[in-house]
Amino acid sequence: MTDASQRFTTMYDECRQRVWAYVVSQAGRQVADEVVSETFAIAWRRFGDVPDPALPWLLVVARNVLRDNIRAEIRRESLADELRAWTEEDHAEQVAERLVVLKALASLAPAERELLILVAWQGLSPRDAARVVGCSPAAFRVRLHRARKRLAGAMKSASAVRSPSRVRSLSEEWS
Amino acid sequence: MNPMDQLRAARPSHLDAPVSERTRAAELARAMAGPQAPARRSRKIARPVWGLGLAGAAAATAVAVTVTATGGTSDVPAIGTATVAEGTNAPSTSPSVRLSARQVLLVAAESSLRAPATRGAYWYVEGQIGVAQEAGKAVRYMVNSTTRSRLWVARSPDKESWFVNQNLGTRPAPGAEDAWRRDGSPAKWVVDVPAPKGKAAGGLVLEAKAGKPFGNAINVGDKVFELAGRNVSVADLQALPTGEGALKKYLLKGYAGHGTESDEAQDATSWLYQVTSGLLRDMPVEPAVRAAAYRVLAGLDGVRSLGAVTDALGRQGQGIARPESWAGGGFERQLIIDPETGVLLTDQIVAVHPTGAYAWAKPGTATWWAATTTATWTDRPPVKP
Repeated sequence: MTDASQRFTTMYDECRQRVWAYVVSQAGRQVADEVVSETFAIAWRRFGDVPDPALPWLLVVARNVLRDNIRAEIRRESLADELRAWTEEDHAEQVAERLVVLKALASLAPAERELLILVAWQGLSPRDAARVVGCSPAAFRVRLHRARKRLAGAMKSASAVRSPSRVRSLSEEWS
Repeated sequence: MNPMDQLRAARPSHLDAPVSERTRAAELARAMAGPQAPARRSRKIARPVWGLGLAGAAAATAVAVTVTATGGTSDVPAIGTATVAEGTNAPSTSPSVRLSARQVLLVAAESSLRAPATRGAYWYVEGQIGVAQEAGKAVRYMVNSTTRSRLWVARSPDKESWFVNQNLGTRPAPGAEDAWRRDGSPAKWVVDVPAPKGKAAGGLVLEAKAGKPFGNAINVGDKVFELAGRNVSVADLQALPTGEGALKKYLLKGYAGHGTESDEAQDATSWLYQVTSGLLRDMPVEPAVRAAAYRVLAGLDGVRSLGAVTDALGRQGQGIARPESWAGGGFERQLIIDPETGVLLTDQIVAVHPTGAYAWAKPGTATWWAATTTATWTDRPPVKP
């Protein structure tokens, strides 16, 4: 194994799962493997450009792959299934509060949901998360603040909404 | 708990599902099956001329070679108006706007300066060497024999440097498959080898199947390369002059009127072209020395541009060539360069007017090539067979 392929494999092992989780949260499991596979193929081609840490860079690539390679309606459907799954799967294990949070998250606008997921689930710093979505760190903070408030508001009203069809209709905004 | 903490706690557990071993293997294999592009980070090259051939810029009469260098661009034919050589003669299927050989070499020199410097205990070079020969009993056709070559040069004179070669076998050359089938699809060929002086011509057996790797230590004391007629150490190579004039002077000190491998007479320009190409091909030198070496080549007479060329491994680069003539007739020594990185992808000998033992080679046939796929410093020690 060459030096480059060794380093690439290490990067893959460190980041693959998190890239996949990000793609799932943006477009669902149905398309995730395809997008992740393409993302790492691009990463190999451009390995000389990949910074350390690689994750934010990989997420940007994954985001572009998702936008360019997967048709909008397929993304939408796949994501709708995903969001439904978050709130319907494993009912026995779902505690009420968790269900409320996930429903609230599903009801947000896609851009707001993405910011929250990058920070809360991907553990990115605001600076790195800003790079992924392509805005300045200052703008990111403002948008994140707004998204947090929306989430808190949605959590209040989501406790009243029980129908999964609500999830489906809201996720259709996503494109 | 604030909403963000609640959100963190609500993360669906399946998002942490580890990748299956099968998916991992498939994704890694798929990724690494592709070629690697030269790094673009920290420098901007605005899709220059060598991309225009594909973009169909046949009508272009002047093109911008925009090399936005962080350093100076003193003598690069840059920014704006590179002249276009032979553009109108290009075949219509591949309209190419051709840089002059000098322009290609000067751009490669600039790019070399910006190449990331790597560090490690070994200079590691990997590549493929190919030789074309004529073979066949019922019919005659061309076969290519290839060898995988790996070279580890220890930075420290206290450690061994190694080369390991592996014969990858012999195949009918692309386009020679039909003739090979008419010959009974042999897996073994006997080819004539030119007789050394005073000895009878012999037969060399080539086989389709690959051989085992073999190799040995190559250092003689601290000396690891032969450069311009002298044995040099890594320290010598690292201390080479970084100025074009000084490097040329240093190299020419080793010129004694004949080739480096033989006593056959060779003029100084041909000799310098060959020696400098060798340095660029596989020697551990500083980026500034590579840049100086490209400038030495750019100053030589008789070098022509080939435009966009694909090497034996299918990689595209800019080709430059200089005629060579020896016992086997007229040939060209071609260098295929990636101007964006200054990497010398392939060094090859191509038949132009071959005679004698090479009379079989059609003009344009590469009879020998050395394609480099990796050249970097690494801490990984030699893999001895």
